[in-house]
Amino acid sequence: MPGWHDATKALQEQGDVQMVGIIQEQHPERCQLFMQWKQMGWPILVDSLNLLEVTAVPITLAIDEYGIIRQAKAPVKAAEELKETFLDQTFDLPAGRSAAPAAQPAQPDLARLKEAARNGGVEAIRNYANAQLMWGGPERLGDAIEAYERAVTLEPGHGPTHFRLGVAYRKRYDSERRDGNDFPKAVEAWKTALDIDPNQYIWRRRIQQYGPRLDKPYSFYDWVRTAREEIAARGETPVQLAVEPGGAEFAYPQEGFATAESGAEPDPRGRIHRDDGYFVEVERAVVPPVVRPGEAARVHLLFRPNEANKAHWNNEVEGLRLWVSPPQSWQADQRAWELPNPPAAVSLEERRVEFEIRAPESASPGDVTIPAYALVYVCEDVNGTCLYRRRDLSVSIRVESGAN
Amino acid sequence: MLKRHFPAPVLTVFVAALLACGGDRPSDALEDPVLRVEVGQPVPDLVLPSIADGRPTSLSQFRGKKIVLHVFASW
Repeated sequence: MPGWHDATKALQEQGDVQMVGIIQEQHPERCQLFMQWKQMGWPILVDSLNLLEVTAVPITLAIDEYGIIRQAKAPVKAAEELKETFLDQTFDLPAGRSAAPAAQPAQPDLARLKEAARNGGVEAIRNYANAQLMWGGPERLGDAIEAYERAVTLEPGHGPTHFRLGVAYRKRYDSERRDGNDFPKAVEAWKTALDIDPNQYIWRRRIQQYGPRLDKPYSFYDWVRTAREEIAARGETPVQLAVEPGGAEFAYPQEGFATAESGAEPDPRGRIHRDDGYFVEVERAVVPPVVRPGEAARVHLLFRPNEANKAHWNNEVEGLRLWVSPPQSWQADQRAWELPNPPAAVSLEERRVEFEIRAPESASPGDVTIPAYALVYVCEDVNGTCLYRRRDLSVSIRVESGAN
Repeated sequence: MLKRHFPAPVLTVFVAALLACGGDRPSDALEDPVLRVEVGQPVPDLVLPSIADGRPTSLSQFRGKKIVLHVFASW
């Protein structure tokens, strides 16, 4: 257990201090898994919206019995340090303060906030959007998004609103109410926020979470597998994650851009009959959506059988194959994929592929299209006709000038 | 929001290195202000969901005890 966990665990066990956490991440249940793994049993508050407006983590605040901040610093490395400088100190009761615990607060009155947003200015709209996102549940994500969109239209230079709009889009993307464009819209909103304040490390990390390895100072959720193994070895059931971390979130940083051997193109002459989306729908997101010459982006592709036409994957043959054709001088870390099939004869699951692509140093500003295609075995309905189809797709990346 | 609670003067906290929750990490040579709070002033009393059950929770519920508050992420 690294540094500050050791220190804080010892303090908590002494019983004379209340440890509290506020987490700054998109998926709070991942932190629950981490807490279970590290056996950190203290209250945690979720601040996915960065309402606290911290620009980096981790940091520690020492707060006295009256709610007054006595220290604000980087995490302590040793319990003794905090004991000497904070726990053993006596603080006076400030005028007008109380040492009595407050009652549990009620949830904000969303109807009242909605009314205030209708009649008030941008601040009231932001408050309503924040409240809907935190307390309104999945069915209110659309209302939160709409309110944030209004707020950024009224005040386009307010970075936190763009960031929170991105959080809302990504949250809806991870829900059953997902719209196909939610993920790219989240990334665009986070990018706008970061353009406004490039020093906001929490916002930067949200993009890095889904971005290319060249931009990662370290991996995000590489600890998840070890955590689950060690929790299970203790005889416990690991906390279930609502959203499993994906490829970018496990990806380790890379110092240089590596490319894999690609093998032969599966349909070089384009002879396979095309699917125009009747069988397979495709969602795509590029992180970041804008690169400079020499920079990389991570492309997220999601394939799904078109339920409107009762399409299913046919799993009794080879899995989905993907081929990417980067434009001249552009590099892809991998050009060919074949995904494994699940055991069932037919299925409906989403199939995801991520790859990275790097712009050449000579790239000119403008939009660049990356062509790709998937070869899929699909069936019309469970006992329907099964076909082999090629699903063409393209991914667009914007190149901006290398000059600052 | 925090800034509105504490307009000025503001103590700027400097953190020499970022230590991620998952373990000690290489320094990012961070020398930016990371949290604008004023030592000696009340902590902002945001109402946030509890990770355990989603119920609204505020730091003032823990008043009466010394609190060590960690602001962190599991990445």
